[in-house]
Amino acid sequence: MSISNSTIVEDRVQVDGRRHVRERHTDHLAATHDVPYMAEAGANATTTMNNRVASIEAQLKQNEIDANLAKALNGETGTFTFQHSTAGENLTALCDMYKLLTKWELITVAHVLHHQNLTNQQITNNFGFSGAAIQTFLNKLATNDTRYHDILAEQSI
Amino acid sequence: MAVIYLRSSDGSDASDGLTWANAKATLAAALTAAGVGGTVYMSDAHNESAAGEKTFTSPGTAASPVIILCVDDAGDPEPPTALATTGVVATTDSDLEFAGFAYAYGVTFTAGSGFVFAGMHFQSSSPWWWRLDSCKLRLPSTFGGNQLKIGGSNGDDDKLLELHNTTIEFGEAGQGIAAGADFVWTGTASAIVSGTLPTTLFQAPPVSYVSSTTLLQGVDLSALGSGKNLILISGGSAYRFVFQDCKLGSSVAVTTGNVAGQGGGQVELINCDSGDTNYRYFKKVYQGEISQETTIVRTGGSTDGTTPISHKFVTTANSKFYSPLVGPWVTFWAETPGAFTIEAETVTDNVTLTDAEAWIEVEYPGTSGFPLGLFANDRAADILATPANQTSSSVAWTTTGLTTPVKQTLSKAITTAEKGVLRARVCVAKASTTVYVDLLRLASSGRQFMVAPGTYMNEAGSGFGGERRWILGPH
Repeated sequence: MSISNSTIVEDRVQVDGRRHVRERHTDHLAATHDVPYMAEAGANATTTMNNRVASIEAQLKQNEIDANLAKALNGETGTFTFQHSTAGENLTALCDMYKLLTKWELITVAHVLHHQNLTNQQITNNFGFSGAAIQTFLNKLATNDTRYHDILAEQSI
Repeated sequence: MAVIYLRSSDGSDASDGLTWANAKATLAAALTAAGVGGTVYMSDAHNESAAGEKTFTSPGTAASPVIILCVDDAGDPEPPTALATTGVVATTDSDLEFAGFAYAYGVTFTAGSGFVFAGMHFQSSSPWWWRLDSCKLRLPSTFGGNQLKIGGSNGDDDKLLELHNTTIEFGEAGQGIAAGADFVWTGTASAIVSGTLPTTLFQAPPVSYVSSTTLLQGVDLSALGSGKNLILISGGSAYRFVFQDCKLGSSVAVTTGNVAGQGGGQVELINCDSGDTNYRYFKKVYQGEISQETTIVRTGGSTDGTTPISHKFVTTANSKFYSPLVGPWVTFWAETPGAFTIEAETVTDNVTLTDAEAWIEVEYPGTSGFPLGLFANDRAADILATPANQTSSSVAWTTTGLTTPVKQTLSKAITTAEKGVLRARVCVAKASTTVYVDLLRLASSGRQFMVAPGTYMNEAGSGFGGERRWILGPH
């Protein structure tokens, strides 16, 4: 789950001495991620490229988490991907988002969380609940999951 | 509607705020007291700080926003006569939230200090508008997750943040701006405060946000240099960025990330550079990228008067006959209706382009009595038509670095019905290909312009000092 190869695929001088540089970062899925920029005349493009790898990996992770959260907002429970991020990272992000939702979004994501079969420890880690509050929280998820299905049924979906 | 005075040093939220002597102490209380269309005069000595989250929901409306002005309070003038820029509103460990409709001048907004979760959020599920003039937005906390968020879920129309002469300061490299509603930033020197700089300035907005347009014009972003990125193109997002007439840092990457689809992110950078140029251009869409080129150029081709320039089209695997990489419009003024032949010269490295792979597209005033534009091109007739090679060309190019230059002409003859504006652009539909395009399109025209949207004054055929007309730039 990382950038496996980075190369400079273009380094071409312009009339003012600066260079069109294109970095190509290839991830473990063989997908390429190009970063074009205009380098100064004496800039070390290789160093710049190597230093950029960490930020690209972070972006790939965040993109995947965002995509998974978007699916959660749509009520999807079984279509998450974990190519660039872990299930734990996604769960944390999902829980963080849940705290900020309102109305239908909350009901929808509660439905998704209900189907994650959260452990007590996960609830404690992500929501700060402990003891009896854990069961209360799980009950709320179950209630909202029921509401989610009731609403879909009312809409004949 | 009321005029409210705000001064933290001696004010009190229990006071009515109607005079300096009875000033309010906090902006939130002052906003409430001001009401729809009210005015808040903030003392230049105002320095308000709170530990918890502060929410500034302006009671103003689109028609009657609340006006917040930082003013010189020397002598307690009522009303004040001079603006100032030293008022401060801050939290120490939580967010600053903004909603409603308001204009603010001269205020420094600071969210958090130390390692705390403290962002700055212009967002609401209801319509909102804030314009900040000569303000400072500070996120000095060292927590990387803090962002300047612009947006709000649930129907993101009618939401806009405008910054003018307003700087932004970050406290950690992971911080940045998440623009999920429309954002306009203009006229700001040293716009990113030096010190701790974000790795990526514009980051992915929260997933519940919808598409938006971000326009930066006349903004000095030169603090962000090598290794920094201006824009993260996030998967699935539909955000449009236009940077125009901005100063960039040396070796900064304009974009990182891939555009997910035809309706995904779009980035256009017009005349923005770290050097003393006036021709730098960059466009990134799903179908590819276009950038200025100053080495591989046509002899006698387009120039800014000093430097020959062409455009380099680099298509992705997603550039297709029905969805090509489309260059910027080049605009002409045609004074006399009649026949014109619009041409564009191209060169590739050993790629002979067919009329299904590259073509010129022209929009022209071909309808009498109405401004209805007509389109014409030299593309293959349709997707099922047998492609033919575009015409070979013998014009001279500097082809440094090209092993086997292949020169071709894209050409289309049209007949205008009225005087007015013609526009032409090149489309490249051959996947994973680099094509250099000369911008000089119409040999018989003395003046051509690559223009951004808006209204422009154009010199007609007689040149500078000659007859002038207003024209509308393309969108």
